Amino acid sequence: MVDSPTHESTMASILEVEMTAYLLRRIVQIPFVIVVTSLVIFLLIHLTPGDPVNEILGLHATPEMVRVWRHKLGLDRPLHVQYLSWLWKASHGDLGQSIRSAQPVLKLILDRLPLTFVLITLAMLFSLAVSIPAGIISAWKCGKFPDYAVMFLTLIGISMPQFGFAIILIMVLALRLDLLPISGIGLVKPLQEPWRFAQYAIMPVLTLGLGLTALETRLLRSCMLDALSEEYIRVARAKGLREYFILTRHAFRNALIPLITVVATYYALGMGASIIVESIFGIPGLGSLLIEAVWARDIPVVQGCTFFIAIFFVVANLVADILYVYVDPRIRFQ
Amino acid sequence: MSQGPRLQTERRLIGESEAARTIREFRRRKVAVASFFIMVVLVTAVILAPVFAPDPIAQDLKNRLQKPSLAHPFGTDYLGRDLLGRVIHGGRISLSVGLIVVAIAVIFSVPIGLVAGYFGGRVDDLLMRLMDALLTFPPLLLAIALLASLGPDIKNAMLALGLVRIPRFARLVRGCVISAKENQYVEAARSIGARDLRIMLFHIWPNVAAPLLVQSTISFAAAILAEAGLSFLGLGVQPPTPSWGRDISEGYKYLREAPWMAIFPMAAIMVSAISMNLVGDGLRDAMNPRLRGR
Repeated sequence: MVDSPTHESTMASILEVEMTAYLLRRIVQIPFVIVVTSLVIFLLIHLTPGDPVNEILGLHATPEMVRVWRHKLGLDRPLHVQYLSWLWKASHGDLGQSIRSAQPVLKLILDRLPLTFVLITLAMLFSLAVSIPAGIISAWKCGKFPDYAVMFLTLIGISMPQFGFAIILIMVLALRLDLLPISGIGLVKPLQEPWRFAQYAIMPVLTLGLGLTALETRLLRSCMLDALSEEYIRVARAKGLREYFILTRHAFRNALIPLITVVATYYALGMGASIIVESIFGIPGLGSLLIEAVWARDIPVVQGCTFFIAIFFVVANLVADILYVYVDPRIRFQ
Repeated sequence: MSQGPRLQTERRLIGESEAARTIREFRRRKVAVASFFIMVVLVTAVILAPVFAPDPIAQDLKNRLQKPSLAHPFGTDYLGRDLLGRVIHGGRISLSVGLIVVAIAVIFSVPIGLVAGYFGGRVDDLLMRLMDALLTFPPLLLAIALLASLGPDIKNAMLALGLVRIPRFARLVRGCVISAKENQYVEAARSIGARDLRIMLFHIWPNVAAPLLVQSTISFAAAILAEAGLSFLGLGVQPPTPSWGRDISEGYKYLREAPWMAIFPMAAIMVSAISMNLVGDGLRDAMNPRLRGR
């Protein structure tokens, strides 16, 4: 009986199959979610009283011209035909043309997407770099001065609106001390002039990241405090393990799951939430594209942006779920 | 050596109800109490605004961009309007938006969560799928789309913000209901023939109310921030109605010459959000059995 499968390996393969099934289910849900999201946005935009054609042609438009243009843009078809045709083309990579600038929507989005993505990622990295040490220290010195200091700072962090950070940063760094430029990041090529790019990027990244940092720090602290009061920590101490070890190996792992949730949520929402930051700092990113399109009733662009944001959203959540399974073995058994 | 919060046995006065115990615990926390009073002051000022606050809309173009002074304690804006008046009147909008947003979330989420948690099974599945569908929507996107199509009106903003919060509240309620169901008194009540509705109202609801209250205070603070963000983008209240977010976006243009235009509304937002968060924190700690003492 040398080669008989052991109990463990059978369990392992069952788990593998379950996990794959779970992942497949999640992946199948993606198109469904995207369709629903884009449908809702489409309907909402079409409830708009404004007419994009009127916006383009201006005041001198005769009814005849309006009619011709509407036909050209396909706006006189029934709503469901418009939506389905958009959906069909979108699934083949054609997101249509902007009504305002007649440029392909896909190109507009891809031009702007990298910048937004880079800024969001930098902000996330910054927030993790600050919140992890801060949260651990705060939990370690619970009740003493460092804890109070951290709690105070994070309280301000979660109570400030995003543009609040931006305005304070601008007032201090740009206006008073004249250290950093406010807008113009679109003109700098990050790979060719990294230092200049950093100068332009610092304030937006901080604006995006500080609120997140405060949130993460609090979360981390509270999870670690919960973990530290558990029995197994007392066992670890009784064993004589060093405090540092206990903190980082045992207690911190418990905080990982909520942290993953927060980071994934941030990414999922980040593309949409960067709208405010992009508007303040004049950043030509996805968010500002979206808001301009909304104001101008540029329907194809709005649809396209939504499409991308929805994809982002769903993929971020999916990645988070996958990570959960790796971090917390208990979840596998659900 | 670091320790977690001290574990103590809870002491309760004779005949003290859970609510009274929570209040007593809350009062022990000076920070929370102070924040509570700040909120009370804010709300009172805002309610009494039409009575004593300066007119926020009256323009005085001879006195544009004045620094804070005795005549205008918060200064004036680019149209000569008194900022103190604008901040206080703006508070009416912001605070009531916060309130209504939370109210919308609570009114819809409680029945959903109660039913889903109590009855479980298919109903639970269906309702939670619905909540998930709502959750998959990037909130700001929904708010913007709603406002762009229905018009940048304050009512639509409140609707959008409230709608988006429903899933989180519903999950919270459902979680509480599920754990409250395990209590023996529920089984006892059922065994003597109590109807489901009665059980839900008398036995389950008290367990739900407390965490719901905490979540509401925190959501209230977040709603104020969200409304400020929407107004900042021009999607909330329309001029000349004062609104904290909008005033800040106008003040942003004059940051160099007249920083007080942006600072005071910002400070107002922060004070409201901070005190509400602190009250919520205090409540949460007051209800946490591990942190109670004496």
